[in-house]
Amino acid sequence: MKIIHLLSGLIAMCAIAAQAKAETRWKVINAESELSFQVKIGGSLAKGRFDDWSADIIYDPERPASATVAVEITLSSAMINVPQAQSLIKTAEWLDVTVHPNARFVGGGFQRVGEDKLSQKGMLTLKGVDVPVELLGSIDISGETAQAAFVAMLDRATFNIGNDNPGVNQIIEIGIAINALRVQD
Amino acid sequence: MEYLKGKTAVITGASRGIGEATARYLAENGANVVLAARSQTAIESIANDISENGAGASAIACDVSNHTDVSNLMLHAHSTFGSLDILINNAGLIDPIARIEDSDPEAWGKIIDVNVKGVYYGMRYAIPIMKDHGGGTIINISSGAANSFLEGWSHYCASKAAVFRLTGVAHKEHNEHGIHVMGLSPGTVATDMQVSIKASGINPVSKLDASSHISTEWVAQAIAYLCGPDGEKYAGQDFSLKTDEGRKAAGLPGL
Repeated sequence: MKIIHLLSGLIAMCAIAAQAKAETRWKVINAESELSFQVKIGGSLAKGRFDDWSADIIYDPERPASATVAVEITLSSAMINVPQAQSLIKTAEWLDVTVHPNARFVGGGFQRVGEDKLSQKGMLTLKGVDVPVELLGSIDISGETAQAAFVAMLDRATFNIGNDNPGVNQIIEIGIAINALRVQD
Repeated sequence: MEYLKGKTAVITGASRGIGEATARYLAENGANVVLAARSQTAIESIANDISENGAGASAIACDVSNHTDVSNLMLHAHSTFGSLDILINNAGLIDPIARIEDSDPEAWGKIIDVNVKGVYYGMRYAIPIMKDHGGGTIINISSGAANSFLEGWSHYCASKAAVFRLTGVAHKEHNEHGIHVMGLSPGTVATDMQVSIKASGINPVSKLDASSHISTEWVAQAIAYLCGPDGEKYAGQDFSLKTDEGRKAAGLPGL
């Protein structure tokens, strides 16, 4: 009996190992990808981006629900096209990059929404606050390359970003555009 | 109803009753609708049904007594349709109906979590988005119970009275931002809630004949009316469908 148990255990372990091996990883092409954000300041749309970030993506289009995505963002790489905002964005009142140098997003599986959209829920850690967020968008795969475009809306008050600044809209739109290559085993 | 075209409406408690009828009616009149309820299954099928008729619809599981769920709901609407113009705070419970000395404190508290905190969370997370976009309409489903005392309904009367005050304060704070907040007191409506009320056998409402209840479609029509330019007149107040003028204003048959 013990041997049978041992055998079935081994078979189960092999099955798990085989599954792990079947993971499809994607390498982000940095030059063709962008992590951007936009928000209205004083009624006009300001646009910004983070130049330093990395993403670890496991995504099998046949099994979207088992995907995992981890994104690490260096907050001091924030750029915004409004000079006054650029001079403030890294300060304690806004992103506070000295105390919280990085933001992190850890997302789970993708779920289909409607006909052609995907939703991914995950946890965003920003300025020391953990908040569940939803990414909404789509992934197109052709051959060995994938293009993904997602948006997320963040309420900056949730992260204590720029409180008491009514001239800046409260909801920040995050855009993630990724070009990636399938990683061969 | 031109004014509903392209607007985005979030409806809580959208899996049945007033919420479902409202989602369908607003979508028929050109709005994009986001249906929220605790269980995904029912709203998903209603949303698919609405989408098949060519309107924008999205379903998202949300427990209104959980503020993270509610925050995500509003941000989901914004991500999906690019705006949030209308919020219908409809999710509400009445079961279990019991006199105060017989009531279960846990169950009593749960009603307050859904009926009061749920409405507050909805406004808390919709208002910043509406403010960013220059305005919006919030309709809190109210009740005659907000202003009356009914045996066995301590939880419901207390919760609806609280919602009435929330409506007033939200109006005071945000009218200047173009956000119109109002209550809608529909009277008795032919929904599952009236089935529970009848089964309780407590107080005169439980003795009402089913034929005296109005249809969910009428309530949906009144909600659509309040989302229009006339709605502003009722901001900060409860609009009642139990009066002749209320029904006529909403385009419904008078009493």
